[in-house]
Amino acid sequence: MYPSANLNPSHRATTIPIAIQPDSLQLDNIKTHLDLVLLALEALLGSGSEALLQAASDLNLADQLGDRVTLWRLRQSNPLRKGTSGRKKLDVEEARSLVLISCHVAKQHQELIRRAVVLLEQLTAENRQPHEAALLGDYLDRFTNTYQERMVTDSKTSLALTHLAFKLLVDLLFYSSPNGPRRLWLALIERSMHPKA
Amino acid sequence: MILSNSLFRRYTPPTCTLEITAQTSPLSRWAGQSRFNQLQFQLRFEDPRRLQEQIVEISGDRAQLEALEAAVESYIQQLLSQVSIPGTGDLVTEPTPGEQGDHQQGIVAIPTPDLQTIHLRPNGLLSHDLFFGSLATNVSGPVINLSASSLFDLATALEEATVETTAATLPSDKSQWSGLMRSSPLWTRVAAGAAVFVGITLAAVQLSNKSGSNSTSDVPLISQSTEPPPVSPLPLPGTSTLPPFESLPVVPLPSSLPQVGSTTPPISATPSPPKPAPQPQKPATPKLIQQPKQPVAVQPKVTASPLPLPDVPDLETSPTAAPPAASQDNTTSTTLTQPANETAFDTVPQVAEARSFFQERWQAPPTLKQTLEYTLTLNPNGSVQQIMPLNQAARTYLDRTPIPLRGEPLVSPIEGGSLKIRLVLGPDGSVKTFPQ
Repeated sequence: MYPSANLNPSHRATTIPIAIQPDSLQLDNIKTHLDLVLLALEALLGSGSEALLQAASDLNLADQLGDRVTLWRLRQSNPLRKGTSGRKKLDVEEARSLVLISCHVAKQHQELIRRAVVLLEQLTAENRQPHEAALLGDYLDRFTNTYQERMVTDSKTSLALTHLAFKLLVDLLFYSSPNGPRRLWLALIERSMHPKA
Repeated sequence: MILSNSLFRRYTPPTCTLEITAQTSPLSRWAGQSRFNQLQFQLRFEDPRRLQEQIVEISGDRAQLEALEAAVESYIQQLLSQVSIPGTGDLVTEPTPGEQGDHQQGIVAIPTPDLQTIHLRPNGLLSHDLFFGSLATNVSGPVINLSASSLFDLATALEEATVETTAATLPSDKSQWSGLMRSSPLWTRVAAGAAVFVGITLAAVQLSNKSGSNSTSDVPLISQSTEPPPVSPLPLPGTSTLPPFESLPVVPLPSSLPQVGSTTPPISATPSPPKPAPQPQKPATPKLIQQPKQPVAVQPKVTASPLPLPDVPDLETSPTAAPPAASQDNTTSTTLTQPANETAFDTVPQVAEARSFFQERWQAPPTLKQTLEYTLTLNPNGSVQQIMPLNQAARTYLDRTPIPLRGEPLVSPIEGGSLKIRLVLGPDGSVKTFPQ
């Protein structure tokens, strides 16, 4: 029985010790990557933010992310997002909540994620285009369209965007395991400290 | 009284099988030892996409198992920490120094290990080389190439095994001790108390462990096919299966960063260890822990098969031998359950062929609670043209079904062109097919 075992998750979210306080640049990197992970999930599920909001409810995190507007404002904190209206500062607690939600949804849809990854492996091994499989084609289309629609235009080539989509897809598989939240959190911290790596 | 038993665990993700054997003793926990003594493991990489002769098997002891788990998890963490936008779009690459230096920075930062060290290297996004190090044999060779999904399966099996085999040590916390006492069967507590009272020494316990004789007294360990491991903490009421916030490790940043410590409760102020204790993760694992329980039951040797043999549903001793109608008799929960109706629908022989195909292969995942329904569109040559899930569960569990991929054969060639079949897979292992 570990400490705080009698607390519900939302309570623990407010009492969890914050032993780190990332600087603004680090937090920006965390926001950016978290938003991309969520984008990949939404693109694969094709279900908008419903699954994320349901997960927030399942995890008793609705206080923080209970409605579409709050979630949108949190995700608008991604510095790569277009526009600044409604942008909200993302704090570490909110970042951790988004980590738990992302991994919860990934775990719920692990079979679908795995099938997509296996399809990608098979088609790649056969030197075929990934979009030949409807599941991958739809995912890629949704990811690319949403990315270009929401994010500040940069110099990413179509190829780089495709690779980003598939990198995030494979990452999602690893986040769907029981220790997925730990993996994602460590990855976020590591990325925030080495943003160029 | 000798209190030692053999224990066998099998972890079976889709592309590998990890088997663990150990000697166990219920008293070893009181002696501060792992319950799993003389642990040995066998790991088979049996991806169905591999040829028979490509199946690789390695084996080792506890230290090697832990080293393998650490290497795999560390490698995965480095993969996840890499930048998302590599310099090229290659999904599978031949590793060259130039390429690795370009977009595998998180990986090339690792010093090149010697050949005796278990380690991994990337060949692009979807391909990874696992170097066996001290686990290598003449048969296995020094390295195996793993796809991303195979790497995930390996990590899953190792994680489950590690959680189970390392969670069984003596709890250091008093509350854990008392909780463990409460969760133990009465006979265990009596036995432990009696052991202390009589003054059995640690050495005596160890000697008794080595005797190897069986005893029916180790009920909670041996009966693992029907009960969860006794050491896992109870899931928190009203929470999900995810680990709590506390299990997210806190990585210290450079000291120049301000610390927020004023609101930190004492119990949590200590920086989390790099790897959280297995207990917080335990609530998330019951589903996975249950996985090996089915195969743990006596099962024919399947290790040489490159393809997963159809697993036997719990309630049927030989589903493959049973006629379709007979196996349908057990179905109770879905509509159109009368076998007579189904056979009447078999106006096209391919419908019965498809039913037979899935009856031989369908094994419902333990977590499946709903019926899965699909519409399969077949090409004139009998291969699958399109798979359309008809409900959310069908979409979610698509990967667990034996439905062939598009273009792969399912039934014999169809006279009169294509055919649509409605496929209904039940959580009880039942299979129904109807023409549409």
